[in-house]
Amino acid sequence: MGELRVDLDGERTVFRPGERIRGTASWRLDEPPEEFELRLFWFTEGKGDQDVGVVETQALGAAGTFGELEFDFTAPEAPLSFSGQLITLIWAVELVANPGGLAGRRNLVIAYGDREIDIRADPPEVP
Amino acid sequence: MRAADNPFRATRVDALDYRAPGFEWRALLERLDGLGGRGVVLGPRGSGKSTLLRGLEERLRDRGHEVRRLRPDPDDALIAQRQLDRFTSALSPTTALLLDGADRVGWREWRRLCLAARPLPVLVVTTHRRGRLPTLHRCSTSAEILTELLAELDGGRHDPLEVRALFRQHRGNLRTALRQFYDRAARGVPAADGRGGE
Repeated sequence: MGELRVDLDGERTVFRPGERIRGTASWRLDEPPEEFELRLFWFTEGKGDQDVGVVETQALGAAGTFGELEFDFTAPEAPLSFSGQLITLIWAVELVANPGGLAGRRNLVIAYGDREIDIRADPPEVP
Repeated sequence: MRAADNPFRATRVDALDYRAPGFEWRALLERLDGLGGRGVVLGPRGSGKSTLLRGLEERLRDRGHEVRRLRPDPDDALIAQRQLDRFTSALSPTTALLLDGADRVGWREWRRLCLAARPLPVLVVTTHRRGRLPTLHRCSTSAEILTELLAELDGGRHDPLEVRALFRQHRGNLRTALRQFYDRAARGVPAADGRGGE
């Protein structure tokens, strides 16, 4: 066992599309894994089955039992983070050690505002 | 409530362990060995067949098997041959095949699947009816199991009479019963509140 962590620079959690998502992935494990993989992806949570979309991966190969690595992704244009009563779409950066699938993950928001789109909110009134 | 905060969201329900009165994994694995690694998990919709198969996958991996689990799209009436071909391609001597939904495999495809699985140590499928392989386990549900699952998911106390009524209303289908609790939580209906059913 052990620990894998993902930290975002400045502890930022909200990014506009096109902005850089920078941070550090670190690991401290009992056994060296065969390979590490770092991914930027989105996933859904809600009433139905989960959907997942991986938009960028970096294979790190074998990297020993402990260490750290700086990463730099670009926030995609879509899909934007949103949440309603039936479904929430969440972005995340995840570091995975294989085999075994031990992972560390940091959720984030990709939005034009300062938070995810709330699709529970009433739409603006049309004059 | 945000969907990601709903205690009855699908990923939490999917992560529940299979349970049934008197059920033990050790006994199930022994029975599977006794059946030569071939068996059917039987049960009606929402009785825990997929949950049991997921738990079995984990335990077979612990035994050193390379496990492949095929869960067809619920909207497809029949599993496409090309999907089965991918499922049975490049098999190793330790591969265990788990097919969730053998009812949706036509007879010709089923014969081909059995042929491909002949040298393999494990083939377990779920179906609603007996027949295709010896019965490994028959899933069944109860209002008590639903009560346990509810407590595990939201930590709340639920009125046993209400849970029993819901269990009957859903004809023992735990998945649809838990979806009703999802809807209630989404609307902010308290756990112990008997109102608000659909």
